[in-house]
Amino acid sequence: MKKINLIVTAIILIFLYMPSSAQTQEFIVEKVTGKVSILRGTDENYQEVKSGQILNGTDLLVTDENSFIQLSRNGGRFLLKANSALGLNFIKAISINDLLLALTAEEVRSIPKNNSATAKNTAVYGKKIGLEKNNKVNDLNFGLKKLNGARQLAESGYKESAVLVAKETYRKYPSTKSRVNERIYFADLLLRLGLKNEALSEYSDIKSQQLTIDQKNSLNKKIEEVSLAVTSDK
Amino acid sequence: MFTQTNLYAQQSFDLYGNLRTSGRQTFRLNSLESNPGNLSDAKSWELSFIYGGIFASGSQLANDIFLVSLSKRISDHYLYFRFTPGIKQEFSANTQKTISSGDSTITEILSTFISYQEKIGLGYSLQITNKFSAGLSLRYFKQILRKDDLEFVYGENIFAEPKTIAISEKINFWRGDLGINYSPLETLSFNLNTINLFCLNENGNFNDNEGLELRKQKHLSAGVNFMPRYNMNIYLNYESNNSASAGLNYGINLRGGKIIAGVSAYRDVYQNPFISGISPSISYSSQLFNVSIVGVKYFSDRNIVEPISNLIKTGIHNILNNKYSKDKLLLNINIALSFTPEKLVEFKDVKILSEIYPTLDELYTTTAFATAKVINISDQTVNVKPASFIEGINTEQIFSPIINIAAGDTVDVPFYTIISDQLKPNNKRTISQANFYLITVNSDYDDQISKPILINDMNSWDGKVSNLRYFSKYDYSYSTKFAKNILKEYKAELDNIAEELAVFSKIKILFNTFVQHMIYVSDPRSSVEFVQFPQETIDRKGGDCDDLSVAFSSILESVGIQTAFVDYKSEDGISHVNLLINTGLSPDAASLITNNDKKYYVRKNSRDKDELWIPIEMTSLADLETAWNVGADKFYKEAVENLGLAKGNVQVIDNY
Repeated sequence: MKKINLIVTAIILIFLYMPSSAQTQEFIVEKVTGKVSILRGTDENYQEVKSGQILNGTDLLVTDENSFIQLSRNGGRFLLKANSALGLNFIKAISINDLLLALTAEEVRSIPKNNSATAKNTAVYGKKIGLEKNNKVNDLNFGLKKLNGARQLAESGYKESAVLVAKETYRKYPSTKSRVNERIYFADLLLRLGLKNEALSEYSDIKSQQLTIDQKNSLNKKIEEVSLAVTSDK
Repeated sequence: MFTQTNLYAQQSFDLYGNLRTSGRQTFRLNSLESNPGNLSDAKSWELSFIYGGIFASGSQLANDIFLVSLSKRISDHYLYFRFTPGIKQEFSANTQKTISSGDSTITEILSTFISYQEKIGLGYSLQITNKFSAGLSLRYFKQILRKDDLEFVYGENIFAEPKTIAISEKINFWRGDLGINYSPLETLSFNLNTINLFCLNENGNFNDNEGLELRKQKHLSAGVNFMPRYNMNIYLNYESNNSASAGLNYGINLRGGKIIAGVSAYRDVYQNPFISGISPSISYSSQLFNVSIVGVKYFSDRNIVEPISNLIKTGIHNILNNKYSKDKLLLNINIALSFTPEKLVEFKDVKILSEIYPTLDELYTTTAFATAKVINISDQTVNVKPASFIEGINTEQIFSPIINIAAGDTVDVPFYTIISDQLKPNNKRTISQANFYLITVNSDYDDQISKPILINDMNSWDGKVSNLRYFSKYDYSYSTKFAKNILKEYKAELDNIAEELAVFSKIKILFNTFVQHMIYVSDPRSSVEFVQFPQETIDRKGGDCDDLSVAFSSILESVGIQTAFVDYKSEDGISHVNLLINTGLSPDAASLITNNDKKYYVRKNSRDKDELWIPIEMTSLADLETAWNVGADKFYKEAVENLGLAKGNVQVIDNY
């Protein structure tokens, strides 16, 4: 197991250039270890990935325990470690301005406050019955896999894309929000990208979670430092 | 413009200034009695003429020209001149004197004649601010006292036959007064005026007959004027010598003008009874002229015969209104000699921003259809009330918000409109005239300009996806009926479905039924965008992406399911529209409907809860699953992965 991890890390370190345009990305599966599956486009069912297979941008890759996959594209390589999930279209460089725009769009994705249409539907159909939920979507582990994928994007140099994937994951898998260490990691990433206000906002939001004393102290220190930096920038 | 009949108390007794508004008036108060600070808004020369009848003893009616006046406003200044032959009061007394000399006795009738006249008046008023004005008046009075006396002629006898001679004395004087008006609101005004502030005599006093001179005690007069409701006015005026007057007027609009009826009552401290008299009045005012009839009815007997000593004792305080004054009836005519109101603002240009699309009527109450560059050509800040009238869609002038323009400034003034339901066009595009007006303090407009404007038919659309909602909600009742009829058929199925999935199930049932007989049909070739109303799409069994999105959005919204239009803009300018639909599910429950998190989009609702919205391609007319897959694929690629939402290439527009 340790050997595998070492190999994976080594491969990440030799990660090469990938073209920035993700519109028509095609990836070749160079190597598959363990159980790796893909969800293609808007399909509802997962398929097993095989070596030599061609994947495209709309595919979502998911690796299980002790599994990984190595992809290549235009001579560049990307490796997705175990217990990860990643949409291939996110393997792309985006500018800091585009990231800022996307973060702003995140903030305004709420419906207008004066839209009271939800309130006007008082009719209730159906009854309370137990429902079987799928074990992938809305599963905490699946959310964490996506965060793992985002983390690997960041470690591979795609910090901006990583932030976007993390943001989307927190939206779609709200239970992942309680994973404080992961959140602090992505908040730190915002700071490293120079987005102090966004980082500060994220730190403040994390404070509302249940924290250990160490986490609380660490967060308070970060908030104080970033606040000071924001003030001095003004 | 509302005018009132106004009768001021005692010294400020005013039969000429009875055409008054609580705020500003087109015609000046034709009066120096009530308030020298009043102003008119008319730039015109104004000519006023008052003809009156005084009811003398019995049924005798004495006719006279009461007043002729001329006035002119120049900027904030107002000049006024009047000639008042009717303001006079005359008294005569005969004394029989018998002189005896020896055997002869001579009896002579000696007359005493007293005349009080106000000859001319001059007024100057200044508008200091919009709410505050002040004025000065000068009035010229003439008093004549003529008494007969006997002159004895010396002859052979010690005194011969006496000869009657007339001794005449005249006093001319100028009286000056100041007044101020303050109008904090259009419906409320206050005034304060002096009475006999100063008098300048040209020639001394009546020798030995000072008691017959006009009394000139100094007073103050204060008044308030209030409009509790449109077309109704009440006022109260009080003088510092305890005289007072109060009145009520009510008006109705008639043929572009106004008829006002009113009544005033007044208390004069020098007359009896407590309420000395009343003054009913009726008038008609238009922009160009004003006609009024005012009567005065006293409650005490006016056929007074009494010793002259009584007159000397009480004196005359007011020529027009005293205990000897008779009942009166006056006809007052004001005419504007030129009809140009003072222009404070004018148009530099008007730009039509948008053709009129009748279905988007609500839009024009918040979005300007035209904008004008307006310049303030006066030397003061002006409140401008913009108005417009579009022939064919308006039944009356539509006012836009008031704009404040500083002196000399040019500003952009937006114009909004409301489309009359009765006048909504059907299937014909027409070119009409939009008339724009600028209204300031004048009841008439300061400037007017007309521009041609295209009025589209009901199905025309301006191409903005944000405005599709007006088509969607045009006829909810039809969509509600359509949706409920379908859902009724699936009642059993819906009753047995999990509560969380109720909305999603309804979406599925409604979509699958709606598309059953639908086909995709492009718009007809035309220079304008054309959108069908939901009923038309259902009846015609097809439409393009706009029509199908509008119709299905309307069906869902009509049963309380939220929808939003998704506008995909392309570089060639051709938009594509499909729908986002709120399933009401929380992200935790996403697996109830899909295994693929690319197929939904999370949005916060108005209660800050995240909900899943699913993109549906409305031109995919197979079933919901297919339409959802096609919609989600496009949405995820263009809106999310390619940052379309962030960059503005994809817009989500809520339908509410």
